[in-house]
Amino acid sequence: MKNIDENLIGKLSGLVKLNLNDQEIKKLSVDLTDILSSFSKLNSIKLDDFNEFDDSLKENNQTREDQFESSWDKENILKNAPNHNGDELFIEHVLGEE
Amino acid sequence: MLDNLHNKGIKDLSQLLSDKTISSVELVTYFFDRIDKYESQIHSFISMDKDYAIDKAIQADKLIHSKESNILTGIPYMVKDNISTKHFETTAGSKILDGFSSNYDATVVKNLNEHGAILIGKGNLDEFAMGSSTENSAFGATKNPWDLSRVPGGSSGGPAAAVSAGFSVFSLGSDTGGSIRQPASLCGVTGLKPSYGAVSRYGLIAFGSSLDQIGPFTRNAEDSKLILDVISGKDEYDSTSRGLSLEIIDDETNILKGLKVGLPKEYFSEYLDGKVKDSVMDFVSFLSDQGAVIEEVSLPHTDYALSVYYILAPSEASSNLSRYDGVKYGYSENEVDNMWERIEKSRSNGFGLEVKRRIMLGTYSLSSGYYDEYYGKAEQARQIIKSELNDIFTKVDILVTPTSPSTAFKLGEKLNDPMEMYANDIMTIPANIAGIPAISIPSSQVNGLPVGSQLVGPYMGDAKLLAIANHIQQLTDWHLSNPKLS
Repeated sequence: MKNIDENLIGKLSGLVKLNLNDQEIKKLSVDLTDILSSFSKLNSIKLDDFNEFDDSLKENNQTREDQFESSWDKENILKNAPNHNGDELFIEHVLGEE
Repeated sequence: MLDNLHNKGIKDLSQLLSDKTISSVELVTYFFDRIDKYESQIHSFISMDKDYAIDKAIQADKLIHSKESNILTGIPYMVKDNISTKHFETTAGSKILDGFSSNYDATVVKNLNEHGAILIGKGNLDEFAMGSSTENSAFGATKNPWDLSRVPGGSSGGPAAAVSAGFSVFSLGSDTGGSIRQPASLCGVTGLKPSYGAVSRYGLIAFGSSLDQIGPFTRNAEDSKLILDVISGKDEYDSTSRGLSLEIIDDETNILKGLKVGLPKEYFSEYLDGKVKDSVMDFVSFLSDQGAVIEEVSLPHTDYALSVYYILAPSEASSNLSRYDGVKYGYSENEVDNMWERIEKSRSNGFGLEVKRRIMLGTYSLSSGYYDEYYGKAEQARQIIKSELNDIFTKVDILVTPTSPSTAFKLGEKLNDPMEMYANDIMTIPANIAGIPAISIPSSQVNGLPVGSQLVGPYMGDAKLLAIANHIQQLTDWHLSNPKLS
Protein backbone atom coordinates (compact mmCIF):
# COMPACT_ATOMS: atom_id res chain seq x y z
CA MET A 1 0.00 0.00 0.00
CA LYS A 2 1.42 3.31 -1.08
CA ASN A 3 2.06 5.91 1.58
CA ILE A 4 0.26 9.09 0.59
CA ASP A 5 3.10 11.42 1.51
CA GLU A 6 2.98 15.16 1.68
CA ASN A 7 4.59 15.56 -1.75
CA LEU A 8 1.80 13.56 -3.33
CA ILE A 9 -0.79 15.60 -1.43
CA GLY A 10 0.86 18.71 -2.85
CA LYS A 11 0.64 17.34 -6.42
CA LEU A 12 -2.99 16.27 -6.00
CA SER A 13 -3.96 19.60 -4.52
CA GLY A 14 -2.54 21.29 -7.60
CA LEU A 15 -4.72 19.10 -9.81
CA VAL A 16 -7.88 20.04 -7.94
CA LYS A 17 -6.95 23.68 -7.45
CA LEU A 18 -6.85 23.57 -3.67
CA ASN A 19 -4.30 25.71 -1.88
CA LEU A 20 -3.70 23.66 1.28
CA ASN A 21 -1.87 24.99 4.31
CA ASP A 22 0.85 22.94 6.04
CA GLN A 23 -1.51 21.66 8.73
CA GLU A 24 -4.02 20.47 6.13
CA ILE A 25 -1.30 18.77 4.06
CA LYS A 26 -0.04 16.89 7.12
CA LYS A 27 -3.52 15.85 8.21
CA LEU A 28 -4.64 14.78 4.74
CA SER A 29 -1.48 12.77 4.23
CA VAL A 30 -2.23 10.76 7.37
CA ASP A 31 -5.97 10.52 6.70
CA LEU A 32 -5.69 9.37 3.09
CA THR A 33 -3.04 6.79 3.98
CA ASP A 34 -5.28 5.40 6.75
CA ILE A 35 -8.40 5.41 4.59
CA LEU A 36 -6.80 3.79 1.56
CA SER A 37 -4.98 1.18 3.61
CA SER A 38 -8.30 0.03 5.03
CA PHE A 39 -9.55 -0.38 1.46
CA SER A 40 -6.76 -2.77 0.50
CA LYS A 41 -9.18 -5.64 1.19
CA LEU A 42 -10.58 -4.96 -2.29
CA ASN A 43 -7.44 -6.64 -3.62
CA SER A 44 -8.63 -9.95 -2.18
CA ILE A 45 -11.79 -10.33 -4.27
CA LYS A 46 -11.94 -12.09 -7.58
CA LEU A 47 -13.24 -9.53 -10.02
CA ASP A 48 -12.45 -11.08 -13.40
CA ASP A 49 -16.06 -11.90 -14.18
CA PHE A 50 -17.26 -8.38 -13.56
CA ASN A 51 -17.06 -5.56 -16.05
CA GLU A 52 -16.58 -2.22 -14.31
CA PHE A 53 -18.86 -0.55 -16.81
CA ASP A 54 -21.66 -3.04 -16.62
CA ASP A 55 -25.03 -1.55 -15.84
CA SER A 56 -27.61 -3.95 -14.51
CA LEU A 57 -30.38 -1.67 -15.69
CA LYS A 58 -29.14 -2.16 -19.26
CA GLU A 59 -30.47 1.21 -20.29
CA ASN A 60 -29.25 3.09 -23.30
CA ASN A 61 -28.67 6.82 -23.30
CA GLN A 62 -31.98 8.59 -23.14
CA THR A 63 -31.86 11.18 -25.84
CA ARG A 64 -34.50 13.58 -27.02
CA GLU A 65 -35.03 15.85 -29.97
CA ASP A 66 -33.60 19.36 -29.76
CA GLN A 67 -36.21 21.73 -28.44
CA PHE A 68 -36.07 25.46 -29.04
CA GLU A 69 -37.24 27.46 -26.07
CA SER A 70 -36.34 30.64 -24.26
CA SER A 71 -33.57 30.45 -21.73
CA TRP A 72 -33.38 32.39 -18.48
CA ASP A 73 -32.64 36.08 -18.80
CA LYS A 74 -29.06 37.25 -18.39
CA GLU A 75 -29.79 39.16 -15.22
CA ASN A 76 -31.01 36.02 -13.51
CA ILE A 77 -28.09 33.96 -14.74
CA LEU A 78 -25.51 36.51 -13.66
CA LYS A 79 -27.09 37.54 -10.36
CA ASN A 80 -24.85 35.13 -8.46
CA ALA A 81 -21.66 36.01 -10.32
CA PRO A 82 -19.04 37.76 -8.19
CA ASN A 83 -17.90 40.14 -10.93
CA HIS A 84 -20.22 41.16 -13.71
CA ASN A 85 -21.76 44.20 -15.33
CA GLY A 86 -25.15 42.66 -15.98
CA ASP A 87 -24.13 41.51 -19.42
CA GLU A 88 -20.68 40.06 -19.06
CA LEU A 89 -18.80 38.01 -16.53
CA PHE A 90 -15.38 39.44 -15.57
CA ILE A 91 -12.39 37.26 -14.81
CA GLU A 92 -8.71 37.98 -14.39
CA HIS A 93 -6.30 37.17 -17.16
CA VAL A 94 -5.65 33.47 -17.62
CA LEU A 95 -2.29 33.52 -19.34
CA GLY A 96 0.78 35.41 -18.15
CA GLU A 97 1.46 39.11 -18.71
CA GLU A 98 3.91 38.27 -21.42
CA MET B 1 -57.79 21.60 19.01
CA LEU B 2 -54.43 23.29 18.48
CA ASP B 3 -52.62 20.89 20.81
CA ASN B 4 -50.14 18.33 19.58
CA LEU B 5 -50.66 19.06 15.90
CA HIS B 6 -46.99 18.18 15.38
CA ASN B 7 -47.78 14.58 16.38
CA LYS B 8 -50.35 14.18 13.64
CA GLY B 9 -49.76 12.71 10.19
CA ILE B 10 -50.64 14.31 6.88
CA LYS B 11 -54.02 12.59 6.49
CA ASP B 12 -55.24 13.74 9.92
CA LEU B 13 -54.01 17.30 9.40
CA SER B 14 -55.53 17.42 5.93
CA GLN B 15 -58.85 16.30 7.43
CA LEU B 16 -58.70 19.02 10.06
CA LEU B 17 -58.02 21.55 7.31
CA SER B 18 -60.80 20.39 5.02
CA ASP B 19 -63.25 20.24 7.96
CA LYS B 20 -62.14 23.78 8.70
CA THR B 21 -61.40 22.76 12.27
CA ILE B 22 -58.15 24.62 11.77
CA SER B 23 -56.91 26.83 8.97
CA SER B 24 -53.62 26.52 7.17
CA VAL B 25 -52.60 29.88 8.64
CA GLU B 26 -53.22 28.47 12.13
CA LEU B 27 -51.31 25.30 11.24
CA VAL B 28 -48.28 27.15 9.89
CA THR B 29 -48.38 29.54 12.87
CA TYR B 30 -48.47 26.55 15.22
CA PHE B 31 -45.27 25.15 13.74
CA PHE B 32 -43.54 28.52 13.76
CA ASP B 33 -44.49 28.93 17.43
CA ARG B 34 -42.68 25.67 18.12
CA ILE B 35 -39.74 26.84 16.04
CA ASP B 36 -39.61 30.10 18.02
CA LYS B 37 -39.66 28.14 21.27
CA TYR B 38 -37.20 25.35 20.56
CA GLU B 39 -35.20 25.89 17.36
CA SER B 40 -32.43 27.90 19.07
CA GLN B 41 -31.56 24.74 21.01
CA ILE B 42 -31.57 22.48 17.95
CA HIS B 43 -30.50 24.57 14.94
CA SER B 44 -32.21 22.41 12.31
CA PHE B 45 -32.76 25.32 9.90
CA ILE B 46 -30.28 27.28 7.82
CA SER B 47 -33.02 29.62 6.59
CA MET B 48 -36.76 30.06 7.09
CA ASP B 49 -39.40 32.64 6.21
CA LYS B 50 -42.56 32.90 8.29
CA ASP B 51 -44.10 35.78 6.30
CA TYR B 52 -43.65 33.85 3.05
CA ALA B 53 -45.15 30.73 4.61
CA ILE B 54 -48.15 32.61 6.03
CA ASP B 55 -48.74 34.18 2.63
CA LYS B 56 -48.78 30.70 1.06
CA ALA B 57 -51.05 29.49 3.86
CA ILE B 58 -53.56 32.24 3.07
CA GLN B 59 -53.61 31.06 -0.55
CA ALA B 60 -53.96 27.47 0.64
CA ASP B 61 -56.96 28.37 2.80
CA LYS B 62 -58.66 29.90 -0.23
CA LEU B 63 -58.17 26.66 -2.18
CA ILE B 64 -59.49 24.64 0.74
CA HIS B 65 -62.57 26.87 1.06
CA SER B 66 -63.31 26.57 -2.64
CA LYS B 67 -62.77 22.81 -2.48
CA GLU B 68 -59.92 22.96 -5.02
CA SER B 69 -57.39 21.51 -2.61
CA ASN B 70 -55.73 18.12 -2.26
CA ILE B 71 -54.24 16.19 0.61
CA LEU B 72 -51.04 18.27 0.78
CA THR B 73 -52.64 21.69 0.47
CA GLY B 74 -51.68 23.84 3.42
CA ILE B 75 -49.20 21.34 4.91
CA PRO B 76 -45.87 22.90 5.97
CA TYR B 77 -42.58 21.22 5.01
CA MET B 78 -38.86 21.85 4.93
CA VAL B 79 -36.15 20.69 2.50
CA LYS B 80 -32.46 19.98 2.98
CA ASP B 81 -30.36 22.92 1.87
CA ASN B 82 -28.77 21.04 -1.03
CA ILE B 83 -32.12 21.08 -2.84
CA SER B 84 -32.51 24.17 -5.03
CA THR B 85 -35.29 26.60 -4.30
CA LYS B 86 -36.13 29.94 -5.91
CA HIS B 87 -37.38 31.66 -2.79
CA PHE B 88 -34.74 30.51 -0.31
CA GLU B 89 -30.98 30.60 -0.79
CA THR B 90 -29.30 27.24 -1.37
CA THR B 91 -25.98 26.84 0.44
CA ALA B 92 -25.34 23.08 0.53
CA GLY B 93 -24.15 23.80 4.08
CA SER B 94 -21.04 25.38 2.62
CA LYS B 95 -19.34 28.76 2.79
CA ILE B 96 -18.65 28.44 -0.93
CA LEU B 97 -22.37 28.80 -1.68
CA ASP B 98 -23.28 31.23 1.10
CA GLY B 99 -25.70 33.71 -0.47
CA PHE B 100 -26.33 31.62 -3.60
CA SER B 101 -29.79 32.09 -5.04
CA SER B 102 -31.05 29.46 -7.47
CA ASN B 103 -32.92 30.41 -10.65
CA TYR B 104 -35.23 27.46 -10.33
CA ASP B 105 -36.96 25.11 -7.94
CA ALA B 106 -35.84 21.49 -7.91
CA THR B 107 -38.43 19.23 -9.53
CA VAL B 108 -39.35 17.74 -6.14
CA VAL B 109 -40.03 21.23 -4.73
CA LYS B 110 -41.99 22.25 -7.82
CA ASN B 111 -44.15 19.13 -7.49
CA LEU B 112 -44.81 19.64 -3.79
CA ASN B 113 -45.59 23.32 -4.23
CA GLU B 114 -47.97 22.55 -7.09
CA HIS B 115 -49.77 20.20 -4.71
CA GLY B 116 -50.19 23.05 -2.24
CA ALA B 117 -47.59 22.06 0.35
CA ILE B 118 -45.97 25.07 2.03
CA LEU B 119 -42.18 25.33 2.07
CA ILE B 120 -41.16 27.00 5.34
CA GLY B 121 -37.38 26.79 5.21
CA LYS B 122 -34.13 24.97 4.38
CA GLY B 123 -32.56 22.32 6.57
CA ASN B 124 -29.03 22.10 7.90
CA LEU B 125 -26.68 19.45 6.54
CA ASP B 126 -23.11 18.29 6.46
CA GLU B 127 -21.35 20.37 3.83
CA PHE B 128 -22.24 19.06 0.35
CA ALA B 129 -23.94 16.11 2.06
CA MET B 130 -20.55 14.72 3.11
CA GLY B 131 -20.85 13.44 6.64
CA SER B 132 -22.82 11.38 9.12
CA SER B 133 -23.40 13.88 11.93
CA THR B 134 -24.22 17.33 10.45
CA GLU B 135 -21.13 18.61 12.30
CA ASN B 136 -19.49 19.43 8.95
CA SER B 137 -21.95 22.23 8.21
CA ALA B 138 -20.34 25.64 7.73
CA PHE B 139 -23.28 27.07 9.66
CA GLY B 140 -22.91 25.12 12.89
CA ALA B 141 -24.01 21.68 14.01
CA THR B 142 -27.60 20.56 14.53
CA LYS B 143 -28.43 18.93 17.87
CA ASN B 144 -30.45 15.78 18.36
CA PRO B 145 -33.88 16.66 19.84
CA TRP B 146 -33.71 13.53 22.03
CA ASP B 147 -30.44 14.65 23.65
CA LEU B 148 -28.99 18.04 22.83
CA SER B 149 -25.46 16.85 23.58
CA ARG B 150 -25.69 14.36 20.73
CA VAL B 151 -25.68 14.47 16.96
CA PRO B 152 -28.86 14.05 14.90
CA GLY B 153 -26.91 12.00 12.37
CA GLY B 154 -26.14 13.15 8.86
CA SER B 155 -25.87 14.36 6.40
CA SER B 156 -29.59 15.27 6.50
CA GLY B 157 -29.50 16.10 10.22
CA GLY B 158 -31.52 19.30 9.94
CA PRO B 159 -34.51 17.77 8.11
CA ALA B 160 -34.52 14.75 10.43
CA ALA B 161 -34.37 16.90 13.57
CA ALA B 162 -37.09 19.22 12.23
CA VAL B 163 -39.62 16.40 11.91
CA SER B 164 -38.50 14.84 15.20
CA ALA B 165 -38.85 18.14 17.07
CA GLY B 166 -42.19 18.98 15.45
CA PHE B 167 -41.02 21.94 13.37
CA SER B 168 -42.51 20.64 10.12
CA VAL B 169 -44.95 17.93 9.16
CA PHE B 170 -42.47 16.37 6.79
CA SER B 171 -39.14 17.23 5.20
CA LEU B 172 -37.00 16.15 2.28
CA GLY B 173 -33.45 14.92 2.57
CA SER B 174 -30.96 13.31 0.23
CA ASP B 175 -29.32 9.91 0.64
CA THR B 176 -26.04 8.96 -1.02
CA GLY B 177 -24.72 6.47 1.55
CA GLY B 178 -27.39 6.61 4.24
CA SER B 179 -27.93 10.32 4.76
CA ILE B 180 -31.70 9.96 5.16
CA ARG B 181 -31.93 6.63 6.93
CA GLN B 182 -29.16 7.10 9.50
CA PRO B 183 -30.44 10.46 10.81
CA ALA B 184 -33.98 9.06 10.72
CA SER B 185 -32.81 6.26 13.00
CA LEU B 186 -30.94 8.59 15.35
CA CYS B 187 -33.83 11.06 15.55
CA GLY B 188 -36.66 8.53 15.86
CA VAL B 189 -38.51 9.32 12.62
CA THR B 190 -39.29 7.45 9.40
CA GLY B 191 -36.83 8.03 6.56
CA LEU B 192 -37.02 6.56 3.05
CA LYS B 193 -34.38 6.23 0.38
CA PRO B 194 -36.32 5.41 -2.81
CA SER B 195 -35.04 3.22 -5.61
CA TYR B 196 -32.40 5.01 -7.70
CA GLY B 197 -34.19 6.79 -10.51
CA ALA B 198 -37.58 6.90 -8.78
CA VAL B 199 -37.20 10.57 -7.91
CA SER B 200 -35.73 13.27 -10.12
CA ARG B 201 -32.37 14.67 -9.02
CA TYR B 202 -32.90 17.88 -11.02
CA GLY B 203 -32.11 20.67 -8.60
CA LEU B 204 -30.27 18.43 -6.12
CA ILE B 205 -26.73 19.69 -5.70
CA ALA B 206 -24.74 16.72 -6.93
CA PHE B 207 -22.44 14.78 -4.61
CA GLY B 208 -22.26 11.20 -5.99
CA SER B 209 -24.51 11.20 -9.00
CA SER B 210 -24.81 7.41 -9.37
CA LEU B 211 -25.79 7.14 -5.69
CA ASP B 212 -27.74 10.31 -4.75
CA GLN B 213 -31.49 10.07 -4.23
CA ILE B 214 -33.97 12.46 -2.63
CA GLY B 215 -36.45 11.06 -0.11
CA PRO B 216 -38.85 12.05 2.69
CA PHE B 217 -38.61 12.25 6.46
CA THR B 218 -42.03 11.74 7.99
CA ARG B 219 -43.72 10.69 11.21
CA ASN B 220 -44.88 7.46 9.59
CA ALA B 221 -44.68 5.29 6.47
CA GLU B 222 -48.17 6.26 5.32
CA ASP B 223 -46.95 9.86 4.96
CA SER B 224 -43.78 8.62 3.21
CA LYS B 225 -45.95 7.02 0.54
CA LEU B 226 -48.03 10.18 0.13
CA ILE B 227 -44.90 12.25 -0.39
CA LEU B 228 -43.24 9.69 -2.67
CA ASP B 229 -46.40 9.70 -4.80
CA VAL B 230 -45.90 13.41 -5.43
CA ILE B 231 -42.12 13.65 -5.80
CA SER B 232 -41.50 10.52 -7.87
CA GLY B 233 -41.75 10.37 -11.64
CA LYS B 234 -39.80 10.44 -14.86
CA ASP B 235 -38.43 13.91 -15.39
CA GLU B 236 -37.13 15.20 -18.72
CA TYR B 237 -34.53 17.24 -16.83
CA ASP B 238 -33.00 14.13 -15.23
CA SER B 239 -32.15 11.41 -17.69
CA THR B 240 -31.48 8.94 -14.85
CA SER B 241 -35.05 9.28 -13.60
CA ARG B 242 -37.40 6.44 -14.49
CA GLY B 243 -40.40 7.11 -12.30
CA LEU B 244 -41.95 4.56 -10.07
CA SER B 245 -45.08 2.54 -10.23
CA LEU B 246 -46.61 2.96 -6.78
CA GLU B 247 -48.79 -0.13 -7.10
CA ILE B 248 -51.81 -0.18 -4.87
CA ILE B 249 -51.55 -2.89 -2.28
CA ASP B 250 -55.25 -3.62 -1.78
CA ASP B 251 -55.14 -5.53 1.40
CA GLU B 252 -52.29 -4.92 3.80
CA THR B 253 -53.97 -6.92 6.57
CA ASN B 254 -52.10 -10.11 5.85
CA ILE B 255 -48.98 -8.59 4.38
CA LEU B 256 -46.77 -9.91 7.19
CA LYS B 257 -48.17 -13.45 7.13
CA GLY B 258 -45.77 -15.60 5.21
CA LEU B 259 -43.55 -12.63 4.37
CA LYS B 260 -40.03 -13.96 3.86
CA VAL B 261 -37.68 -11.78 5.87
CA GLY B 262 -33.94 -12.19 5.41
CA LEU B 263 -31.50 -11.29 8.21
CA PRO B 264 -28.09 -10.86 6.60
CA LYS B 265 -25.65 -12.20 9.17
CA GLU B 266 -22.92 -9.79 8.08
CA TYR B 267 -25.00 -6.88 9.46
CA PHE B 268 -25.18 -8.41 12.95
CA SER B 269 -21.49 -8.74 13.69
CA GLU B 270 -19.06 -7.35 16.24
CA TYR B 271 -19.20 -3.70 15.16
CA LEU B 272 -22.90 -3.52 16.06
CA ASP B 273 -23.69 -2.15 19.53
CA GLY B 274 -25.07 -5.01 21.65
CA LYS B 275 -28.14 -3.12 22.86
CA VAL B 276 -28.97 -1.94 19.34
CA LYS B 277 -28.70 -5.56 18.20
CA ASP B 278 -31.07 -6.71 20.96
CA SER B 279 -33.49 -3.96 20.03
CA VAL B 280 -33.55 -4.93 16.36
CA MET B 281 -33.91 -8.59 17.25
CA ASP B 282 -36.97 -7.68 19.35
CA PHE B 283 -38.34 -6.01 16.21
CA VAL B 284 -37.63 -9.19 14.25
CA SER B 285 -39.41 -11.24 16.93
CA PHE B 286 -42.44 -9.02 16.52
CA LEU B 287 -42.44 -9.72 12.77
CA SER B 288 -42.19 -13.43 13.47
CA ASP B 289 -45.13 -13.22 15.89
CA GLN B 290 -47.15 -11.65 13.07
CA GLY B 291 -46.46 -14.61 10.82
CA ALA B 292 -43.35 -13.51 8.93
CA VAL B 293 -40.88 -16.24 8.09
CA ILE B 294 -37.46 -15.21 9.34
CA GLU B 295 -34.40 -16.65 7.67
CA GLU B 296 -30.72 -15.95 8.17
CA VAL B 297 -29.07 -15.14 4.86
CA SER B 298 -25.56 -14.27 3.83
CA LEU B 299 -24.29 -11.36 1.77
CA PRO B 300 -20.58 -12.20 1.87
CA HIS B 301 -19.41 -9.13 -0.06
CA THR B 302 -21.02 -6.72 2.42
CA ASP B 303 -17.60 -6.30 3.97
CA TYR B 304 -16.35 -4.53 0.83
CA ALA B 305 -19.24 -2.07 0.58
CA LEU B 306 -17.64 0.63 2.72
CA SER B 307 -14.46 0.54 0.60
CA VAL B 308 -16.44 0.60 -2.63
CA TYR B 309 -18.50 3.56 -1.48
CA TYR B 310 -15.62 5.59 -0.14
CA ILE B 311 -13.78 5.24 -3.41
CA LEU B 312 -16.71 5.78 -5.79
CA ALA B 313 -18.55 8.59 -3.99
CA PRO B 314 -15.48 10.81 -3.50
CA SER B 315 -14.43 10.09 -7.10
CA GLU B 316 -17.76 11.33 -8.38
CA ALA B 317 -17.67 14.22 -5.93
CA SER B 318 -14.23 15.33 -7.09
CA SER B 319 -15.73 15.80 -10.54
CA ASN B 320 -19.04 17.28 -9.37
CA LEU B 321 -17.39 19.85 -7.12
CA SER B 322 -14.97 21.08 -9.78
CA ARG B 323 -17.67 23.56 -10.84
CA TYR B 324 -17.15 25.62 -7.66
CA ASP B 325 -14.44 27.96 -8.86
CA GLY B 326 -15.38 31.41 -7.57
CA VAL B 327 -15.90 32.62 -11.15
CA LYS B 328 -19.51 31.94 -12.08
CA TYR B 329 -21.15 32.00 -8.64
CA GLY B 330 -20.47 31.44 -5.00
CA TYR B 331 -17.72 32.57 -2.68
CA SER B 332 -14.91 34.34 -4.47
CA GLU B 333 -11.56 35.64 -3.31
CA ASN B 334 -10.80 39.09 -4.69
CA GLU B 335 -7.19 39.63 -3.68
CA VAL B 336 -5.80 37.72 -6.63
CA ASP B 337 -3.49 38.39 -9.58
CA ASN B 338 -4.88 35.91 -12.07
CA MET B 339 -7.79 33.57 -12.61
CA TRP B 340 -6.00 30.45 -11.36
CA GLU B 341 -5.25 32.18 -8.10
CA ARG B 342 -8.90 33.17 -7.81
CA ILE B 343 -9.97 29.58 -8.35
CA GLU B 344 -7.45 28.14 -5.86
CA LYS B 345 -8.07 30.64 -3.11
CA SER B 346 -11.86 30.56 -3.52
CA ARG B 347 -11.96 26.78 -3.30
CA SER B 348 -9.45 26.59 -0.46
CA ASN B 349 -11.27 29.16 1.65
CA GLY B 350 -14.76 28.10 0.60
CA PHE B 351 -14.59 24.35 1.27
CA GLY B 352 -14.34 22.72 4.70
CA LEU B 353 -11.86 19.99 5.62
CA GLU B 354 -14.11 16.99 5.03
CA VAL B 355 -14.99 18.21 1.55
CA LYS B 356 -11.31 18.74 0.77
CA ARG B 357 -10.53 15.27 2.12
CA ARG B 358 -13.09 13.63 -0.15
CA ILE B 359 -12.07 15.65 -3.20
CA MET B 360 -8.45 14.58 -2.64
CA LEU B 361 -9.45 10.94 -2.05
CA GLY B 362 -11.53 10.90 -5.22
CA THR B 363 -8.87 12.58 -7.30
CA TYR B 364 -6.24 10.11 -6.14
CA SER B 365 -8.55 7.16 -6.94
CA LEU B 366 -9.12 8.48 -10.45
CA SER B 367 -5.59 9.58 -11.20
CA SER B 368 -3.31 7.99 -13.74
CA GLY B 369 -1.53 4.99 -12.27
CA TYR B 370 -4.11 4.46 -9.55
CA TYR B 371 -7.38 4.36 -11.52
CA ASP B 372 -7.32 0.58 -12.08
CA GLU B 373 -6.30 -0.21 -8.52
CA TYR B 374 -8.97 1.94 -6.92
CA TYR B 375 -11.78 3.32 -9.09
CA GLY B 376 -11.81 0.48 -11.64
CA LYS B 377 -11.70 -2.15 -8.91
CA ALA B 378 -14.39 -0.42 -6.87
CA GLU B 379 -16.70 -0.30 -9.90
CA GLN B 380 -16.21 -4.01 -10.49
CA ALA B 381 -16.81 -4.77 -6.82
CA ARG B 382 -19.93 -2.63 -6.99
CA GLN B 383 -21.33 -5.02 -9.59
CA ILE B 384 -20.73 -8.00 -7.28
CA ILE B 385 -22.50 -6.33 -4.37
CA LYS B 386 -25.38 -5.32 -6.64
CA SER B 387 -25.65 -8.80 -8.08
CA GLU B 388 -25.58 -10.39 -4.63
CA LEU B 389 -28.38 -8.15 -3.38
CA ASN B 390 -30.49 -8.71 -6.50
CA ASP B 391 -30.08 -12.48 -6.10
CA ILE B 392 -31.12 -12.45 -2.45
CA PHE B 393 -34.52 -11.06 -3.38
CA THR B 394 -35.24 -14.23 -5.35
CA LYS B 395 -35.11 -16.01 -1.99
CA VAL B 396 -36.65 -13.46 0.41
CA ASP B 397 -39.14 -10.59 0.11
CA ILE B 398 -37.29 -8.06 2.21
CA LEU B 399 -34.18 -7.76 4.34
CA VAL B 400 -34.24 -6.41 7.89
CA THR B 401 -31.12 -4.91 9.42
CA PRO B 402 -30.21 -2.29 11.98
CA THR B 403 -30.03 1.14 10.31
CA SER B 404 -27.05 2.35 12.29
CA PRO B 405 -24.42 0.45 14.33
CA SER B 406 -25.17 2.64 17.36
CA THR B 407 -27.60 5.16 18.75
CA ALA B 408 -26.78 8.88 18.50
CA PHE B 409 -23.21 9.59 19.56
CA LYS B 410 -21.92 12.69 21.35
CA LEU B 411 -21.11 15.88 19.45
CA GLY B 412 -17.39 15.96 18.71
CA GLU B 413 -16.91 12.28 19.53
CA LYS B 414 -15.96 11.11 16.02
CA LEU B 415 -14.85 14.31 14.33
CA ASN B 416 -11.12 13.61 14.41
CA ASP B 417 -11.18 10.08 13.04
CA PRO B 418 -12.60 9.92 9.49
CA MET B 419 -12.75 6.12 9.37
CA GLU B 420 -14.69 5.97 12.63
CA MET B 421 -17.17 8.47 11.21
CA TYR B 422 -17.41 6.63 7.88
CA ALA B 423 -18.20 3.38 9.69
CA ASN B 424 -21.58 4.86 10.70
CA ASP B 425 -22.73 4.19 7.14
CA ILE B 426 -21.86 0.52 7.14
CA MET B 427 -25.49 -0.67 7.27
CA THR B 428 -26.91 1.81 4.81
CA ILE B 429 -24.31 1.99 2.02
CA PRO B 430 -25.15 -1.31 0.25
CA ALA B 431 -28.64 -0.10 -0.70
CA ASN B 432 -27.13 2.95 -2.43
CA ILE B 433 -24.53 0.83 -4.21
CA ALA B 434 -27.28 -1.42 -5.57
CA GLY B 435 -29.82 1.37 -6.17
CA ILE B 436 -32.49 -0.45 -4.18
CA PRO B 437 -35.08 1.08 -1.84
CA ALA B 438 -34.63 1.11 1.92
CA ILE B 439 -36.57 2.65 4.78
CA SER B 440 -35.68 3.22 8.42
CA ILE B 441 -38.54 3.09 10.90
CA PRO B 442 -38.33 3.67 14.66
CA SER B 443 -38.36 0.32 16.40
CA SER B 444 -37.63 1.11 20.04
CA GLN B 445 -35.22 2.98 22.29
CA VAL B 446 -31.98 2.20 24.09
CA ASN B 447 -31.14 4.34 27.13
CA GLY B 448 -33.74 6.87 26.02
CA LEU B 449 -32.34 7.19 22.49
CA PRO B 450 -34.17 6.03 19.36
CA VAL B 451 -33.19 2.92 17.43
CA GLY B 452 -34.21 2.45 13.81
CA SER B 453 -34.70 -0.82 11.98
CA GLN B 454 -34.01 -0.80 8.27
CA LEU B 455 -36.22 -2.61 5.77
CA VAL B 456 -34.61 -3.15 2.36
CA GLY B 457 -36.51 -4.19 -0.74
CA PRO B 458 -35.83 -5.17 -4.35
CA TYR B 459 -35.29 -2.55 -7.04
CA MET B 460 -38.52 -0.63 -7.70
CA GLY B 461 -40.22 -2.50 -4.87
CA ASP B 462 -40.87 0.77 -3.01
CA ALA B 463 -44.66 0.31 -2.87
CA LYS B 464 -44.52 -3.04 -1.13
CA LEU B 465 -41.75 -1.87 1.21
CA LEU B 466 -43.87 1.10 2.26
CA ALA B 467 -46.95 -1.10 2.69
CA ILE B 468 -45.02 -3.43 4.99
CA ALA B 469 -43.65 -0.51 7.02
CA ASN B 470 -47.11 1.05 7.22
CA HIS B 471 -48.70 -2.18 8.43
CA ILE B 472 -46.03 -2.58 11.11
CA GLN B 473 -46.78 0.94 12.29
CA GLN B 474 -50.52 0.23 12.39
CA LEU B 475 -49.78 -2.57 14.86
CA THR B 476 -47.14 -0.81 16.98
CA ASP B 477 -46.50 2.55 18.59
CA TRP B 478 -42.72 2.88 18.40
CA HIS B 479 -43.05 5.66 15.80
CA LEU B 480 -45.35 7.67 18.10
CA SER B 481 -42.69 8.46 20.70
CA ASN B 482 -41.43 12.03 20.84
CA PRO B 483 -38.43 13.76 22.36
CA LYS B 484 -39.12 15.89 25.44
CA LEU B 485 -38.18 19.46 24.61
CA SER B 486 -38.09 22.16 27.27
